[in-house]
Amino acid sequence: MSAAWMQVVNPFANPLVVSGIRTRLRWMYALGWGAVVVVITSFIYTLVFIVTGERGQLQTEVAAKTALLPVIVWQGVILMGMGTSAVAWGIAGEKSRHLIDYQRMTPMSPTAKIIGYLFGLPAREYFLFALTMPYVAYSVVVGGIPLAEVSQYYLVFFTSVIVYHMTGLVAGMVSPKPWRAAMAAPAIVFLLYVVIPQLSWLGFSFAEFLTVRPTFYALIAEEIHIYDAAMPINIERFRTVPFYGWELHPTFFSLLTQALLFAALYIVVYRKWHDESRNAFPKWFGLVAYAVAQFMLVGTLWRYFTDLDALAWLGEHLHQVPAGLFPGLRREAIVLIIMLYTFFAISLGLVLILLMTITPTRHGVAKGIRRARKRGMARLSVWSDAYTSFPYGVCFVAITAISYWKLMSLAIESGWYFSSTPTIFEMAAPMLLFAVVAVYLQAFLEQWGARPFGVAMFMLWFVPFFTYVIVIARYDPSAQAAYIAAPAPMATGAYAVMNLFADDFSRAALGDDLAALPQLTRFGVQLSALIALGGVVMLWRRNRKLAGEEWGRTMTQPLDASS
Amino acid sequence: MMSDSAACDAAPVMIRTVDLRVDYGDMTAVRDVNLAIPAGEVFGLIGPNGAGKTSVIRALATLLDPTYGEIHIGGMDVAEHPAAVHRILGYMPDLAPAHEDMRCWELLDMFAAAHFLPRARRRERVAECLELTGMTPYRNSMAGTLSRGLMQRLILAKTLLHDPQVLLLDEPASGLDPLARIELRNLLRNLRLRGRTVLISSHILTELSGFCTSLGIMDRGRLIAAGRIEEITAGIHKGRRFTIELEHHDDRAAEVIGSFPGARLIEGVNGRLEVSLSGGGGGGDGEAADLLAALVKREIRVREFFERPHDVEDLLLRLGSGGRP
Repeated sequence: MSAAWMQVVNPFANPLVVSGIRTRLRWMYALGWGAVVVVITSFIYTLVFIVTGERGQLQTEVAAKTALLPVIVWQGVILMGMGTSAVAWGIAGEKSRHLIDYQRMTPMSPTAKIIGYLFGLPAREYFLFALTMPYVAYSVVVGGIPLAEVSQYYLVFFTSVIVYHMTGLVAGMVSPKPWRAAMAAPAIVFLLYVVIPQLSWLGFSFAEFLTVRPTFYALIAEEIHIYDAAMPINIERFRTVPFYGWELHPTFFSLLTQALLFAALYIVVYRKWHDESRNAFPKWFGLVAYAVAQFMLVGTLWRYFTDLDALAWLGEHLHQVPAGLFPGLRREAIVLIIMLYTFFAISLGLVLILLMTITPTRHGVAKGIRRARKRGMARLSVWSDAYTSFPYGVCFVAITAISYWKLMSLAIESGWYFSSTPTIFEMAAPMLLFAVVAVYLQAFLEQWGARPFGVAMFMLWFVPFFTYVIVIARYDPSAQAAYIAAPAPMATGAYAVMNLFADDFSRAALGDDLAALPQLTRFGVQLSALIALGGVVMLWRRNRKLAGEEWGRTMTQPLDASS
Repeated sequence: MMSDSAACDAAPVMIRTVDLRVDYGDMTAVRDVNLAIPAGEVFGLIGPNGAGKTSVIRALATLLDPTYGEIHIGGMDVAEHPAAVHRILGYMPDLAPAHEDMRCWELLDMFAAAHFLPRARRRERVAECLELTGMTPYRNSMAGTLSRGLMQRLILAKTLLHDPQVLLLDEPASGLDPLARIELRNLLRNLRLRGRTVLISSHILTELSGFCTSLGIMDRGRLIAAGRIEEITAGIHKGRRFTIELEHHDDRAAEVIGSFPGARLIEGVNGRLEVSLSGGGGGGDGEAADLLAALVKREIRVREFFERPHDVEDLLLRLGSGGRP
């Protein structure tokens, strides 16, 4: 095997891993950190063991099993929390001090370099994690936890850790300052692996499998008796993963979702490795990523249109929704409103993230045109980084429309949600709103760049929304007040989705604002369409001007230096 | 083009750029630069700050994606074969940083391994490079504790580890003490003798004189002159600048200079005169002596009379770029 391959497959042959071990595990640090971790682990393990075992009068076997839980949590803190920060901080530090340039110039393959950083930067955390393993071993042996289940759990734990660390690597590669990377990495990790998985309570369970939690509940929780303690966890929910018509094993599904996210993060790092000015994703990958994400979304929602028990389970979880919000609506209708609203919110969030990764800056467009001219091309390639992301924005809308159409077909076919089939406008309105909002997001982002775009969107979305909230806090909700929030898609989106059930609302309980749902929806969609039209026209004019300047510019003649 | 010289034509071209352009937003840092540096040359790239030297070097080092233009190192297109180019290329950046939490030998060992040097050869090569750069006494020192100059040397050692065919050194002498500069010169001469091609940048002309075999002069992104060092310096010596320090201000000095053939008063403040000599003799030593004699003959008391070496700004003025805006 060549040395290049050895650096990929054997971490100890990778110079970045070796240097990580040397620098982050100098005996003084290793001893100090090691002592702290051993003391803390011993403390939490012994405490739980004594409380559940001797004082709780449980058998040693049960106490050993129960004491495993805090160790597992502590391991997560070490490898997922501290390790991710170490990766983000380390790579951002190397980048800000231009040390990464040295690595860029070595003939190691980019994959070997990524592996080197992934395992080298958190070398200390891996060591600290290893120090906690004897406690796990004791629990497994004394508690009699099946080794196969523990092994499966740690397989998913490690793949999760690698995905988390890869997230830290991306945060470090894209953040200009180490402190920003160190702050961004935990925030991204928290968002990706704590906040977004909560969407599983709304039916969107696939994000939950990015974490080790489902595997933990499916394999370990029952063994260590936490389900019958304080936490009312429905372990059955994690035994299999319904995905379209299939029943998948949670470990397999976890590995699948993590592999997909890892592939996306790998592409970002790989491209940034070659050239920092590149877009994070190539255009084609943006399309593929969005299509896959939609496939996963629809796949995990599928069961709520085909399995009445699953729908009942979801309805149970949504029983906390104040009835006053949806007067007179059946529980199934409330489930669909929340599900569709969340579907569009997630889709819009994904569209925004992907647009930010594939949209060229003004300078990027100019550079691309100059390069294309020099190569004798008459126009930019649609796949080039410099090409406008407008057609891709349109493709995202088209993919979303297919998903939405499928979900609506399933909802109508099931007969569980609608008492009467909605009209074409009622069905089309949420999608139309999504389309025009996606289009203006693309237009303004490409035209203004990330920061002005962020400020403008904040003003456009939150100022009307906040004003609306202030007005209804002072006065009672009314249709007139609801019009104030119309520029904000989170408000108009709610009107549009609720409008699917306009006929079902109890007339008696209907307030002015709900009675005006069709008008509010129409107004919101029209207003957003106008904004989108303005944005597209402005972008078209900007791009035409830029293209005129760049394609029409006289090229600088090469100098003959000796003349 | 650079490859004009017959001597150079015989050697294969190791560094070639064709219409290299680098834009940063609206600013063009490098404008259609064409370079052809044969093997075994020590090519000095000079120019004032902001001339585009670092951008050229970073593009050559594959660290910067140029707006357009071709770059070939050792006959290989860097865009198509970056890994192969990295094997024969060594790059030392301006104010070279180092991994502060590593010992000197650890840092070198890491990069030696990254260049696939076998373990047995690695230790030997690390010791050689430490010796070559005078860093052996600091082998076990943490890089973070080194002075600026020592850190430069350490990174130079790192750059030499894989014995690259082509070396790109961006202002390598900055931060070095005079002794270390002399050692650097000797090292570069040695590398040249071993057939290595070196591109070295500086904004100080004198820093490059003495060991560069050819020069390129950049200003505002353009390569305004390039060629063998004799050709460039011959151009410079067509006119020389002298500083004349008088004991006290004397208006007659300006008259003498004004009437002297080929002499031109550039500046005169408080008895300190800057004079350009570019007469028929090209401002030779004879003319300078004649000018001094003419001043003395008029009983003007001259305290000092010396030639002021040309700096980059002089060159730029002479080469017609008009200096900085």
